[in-house]
Amino acid sequence: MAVVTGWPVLAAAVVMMVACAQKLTQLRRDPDSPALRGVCVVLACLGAATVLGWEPAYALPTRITGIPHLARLLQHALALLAAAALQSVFLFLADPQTAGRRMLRRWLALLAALTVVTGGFAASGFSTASPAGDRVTPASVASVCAVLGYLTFAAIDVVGSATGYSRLVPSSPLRHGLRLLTTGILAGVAYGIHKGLSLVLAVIGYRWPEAAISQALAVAAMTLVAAGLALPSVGPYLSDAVRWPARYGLYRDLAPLWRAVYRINQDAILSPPPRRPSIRSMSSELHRRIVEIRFGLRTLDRFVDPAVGGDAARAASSLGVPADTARAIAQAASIADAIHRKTTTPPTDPGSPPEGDIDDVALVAVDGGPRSLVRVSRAYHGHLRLRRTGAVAPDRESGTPGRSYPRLDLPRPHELETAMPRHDMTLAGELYLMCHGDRSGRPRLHQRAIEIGLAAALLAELLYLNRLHIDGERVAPIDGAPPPDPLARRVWDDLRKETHPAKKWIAYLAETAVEDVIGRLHMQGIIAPSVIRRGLRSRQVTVWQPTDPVIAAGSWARLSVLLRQHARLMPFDAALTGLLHAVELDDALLDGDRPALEHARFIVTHLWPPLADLLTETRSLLDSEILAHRM
Amino acid sequence: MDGHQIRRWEGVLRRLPVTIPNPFDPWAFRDAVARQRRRPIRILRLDTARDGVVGCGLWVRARVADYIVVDRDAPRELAGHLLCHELAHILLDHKGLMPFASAALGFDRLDPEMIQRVLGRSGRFSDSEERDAEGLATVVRSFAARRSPVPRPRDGDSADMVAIDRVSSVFCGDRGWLS
Repeated sequence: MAVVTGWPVLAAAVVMMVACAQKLTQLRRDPDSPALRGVCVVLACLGAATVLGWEPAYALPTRITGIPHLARLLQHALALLAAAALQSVFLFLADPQTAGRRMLRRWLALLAALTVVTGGFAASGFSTASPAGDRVTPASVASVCAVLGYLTFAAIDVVGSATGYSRLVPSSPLRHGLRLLTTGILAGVAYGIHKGLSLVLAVIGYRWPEAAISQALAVAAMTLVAAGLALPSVGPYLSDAVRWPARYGLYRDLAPLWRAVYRINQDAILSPPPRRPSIRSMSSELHRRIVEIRFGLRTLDRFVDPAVGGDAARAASSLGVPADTARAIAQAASIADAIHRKTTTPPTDPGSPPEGDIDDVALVAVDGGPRSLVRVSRAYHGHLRLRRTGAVAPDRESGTPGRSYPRLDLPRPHELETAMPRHDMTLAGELYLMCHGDRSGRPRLHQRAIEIGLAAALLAELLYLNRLHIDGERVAPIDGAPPPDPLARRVWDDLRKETHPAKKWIAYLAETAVEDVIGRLHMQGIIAPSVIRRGLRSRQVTVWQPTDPVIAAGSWARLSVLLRQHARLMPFDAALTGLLHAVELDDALLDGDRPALEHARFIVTHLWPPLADLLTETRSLLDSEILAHRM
Repeated sequence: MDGHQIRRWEGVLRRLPVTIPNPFDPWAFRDAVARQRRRPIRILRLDTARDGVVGCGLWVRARVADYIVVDRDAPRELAGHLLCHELAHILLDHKGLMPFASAALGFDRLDPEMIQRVLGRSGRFSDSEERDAEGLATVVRSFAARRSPVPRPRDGDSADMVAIDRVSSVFCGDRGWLS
């Protein structure tokens, strides 16, 4: 062994430490494997021997014990131990039943070699001043011969088995690892031959400058052995890391279609998907996303109108888009239409397409691999952007601006220009969507302002259902049939049990309002969870994103347009305007448009008195707790 | 699925004495499971979307064979996943018994007396057995891609086949140690 300086030894030590840590993790999973224990010993010995070869570490044992060049003895002992451990690994791999007995002879040989090495070291009489390799004595020759002899014996033992196994294994990181291991051992043999020749030349009086070649061969041999042992288990993860960007691209591009499917079937989701999966989980998460989309599309089959896909395909073809893209657009249009039918068909009605054969489901059952699904998802995403901006979206694949996605005239539940809110959207739900980004789901307000605003919205829902009356601070539930919505019914039941002023009720409901409203929107399929990691400790946080950004953006745009046009508002929109004013989001909604803001304030001052009282109490509570601020 | 769940399922797959094909093929995996259990597993492609019948997938354990029903119209990728889900029920030895209308699925020749267990994948994962099976079916594909292509040994295999299984266990960490 040799003293090595500089980065090669440190790089080799890092490789060995990483390999050793990885194998120790494996050993924790499989503690009964004697061969795995042997591998850990090999890597630990090689790592320690390499570190001892590093100049600053080399001097340390001498400084502690006062024995000159003790690190050299330790290096030799560690190398012999690593060789014996590697022999035991292959004996256990060949036959665990006889390995113990066969290894006994090798342990005896190792003991003899260690005795000769230690004796030779003691008899050599090294001094601190002289370099370790400078003196050639019979004792030092015997010591080097013992080391090289045992290493050669171990190499012959191991190379045969490793080569045999590598021939039996199909091409894979395992085979490459076995070959790398064999190469490392052969490099070790080359080191031994070189060292032996140098010794012979030194005995006959010729000084051969062998240090540089010995150093290189020793480091190469140990690094290759460690890499060969680690490659089969680390290789697939490195391959995953290389493939991660491409897979993430697919995963991200499938998100619009996944969210669309989530709107109609939340039960098919095993767990909230992460926004950016880790290298380890990317493959599983991508497969999961594809399976969930495919399963969701299967449930849409009976809502498919073949004519919609046909019309979209013809429209796309007339614009000269490639056949694959036209097909994807047709499938996206078909999916959008089927989702619309499913979400607007009462559950008791089995639903049937208006025309065409019910078995003609080819447009929803997207065939082909993940890439064809990605094309459909991109087309669906383009369709959403069309609906939102009214402009033709550019093609992300070809980069052609404004020519790729034809305007698809599909019936949508929620057009921007429509003055009516969604029939199934509640006041609190609409407020929640407006308080959060239409794509990212990030809050536009301070969390406390959202909580208080949603609590007020839940009470406002009961006001409009005529199950509650508010007069100043006084809150009085009204008897009658319970509200059909479970959340509204729960709030109403709470109000009937105790009597408190409005501000206290708002503060009480605010404690759970966000979770409650999220739960209701989730059940309606309007928002979907996405897991992100935050902070230095990668804390997992669930963010709720709209499944259809058109719905979220539509609420915002609809009210903004109505207020800018100074239109007369329906009670629902007037209440929403009042709530936005209470949480101070109206300025952002109208982008500082003063006439529109004055119109909004006019509406707020002329609200239905019970609602106006509720909003006064809400504003008062907010003022007393925090100042709302935009994020 | 978070890292903890994935590690848990990979641990289960690592301990399985079954060959997981690499590259992964659900139908070849079915053959491997059947060989290991020494019981035939028959796949029936039926229309499971009909009203009143469980949706998508079903495992029926009868006296001499296992039957896996897979949605006839499911795309290949989804059908493969449904098959893996039902195989996961078998491998995890789940005990669930759900109401089973054999005639509705076209099992006219299957005697209800012979049926010992029935488990179905309906796309709702509130039940723990369903979640477990779905988790395993999701992870098996990526696990197989990271696994070495060495098959698990069977009775009568040569000593070399058994040895390279141990080599794979030690070097790749993709399976348990067979002594």
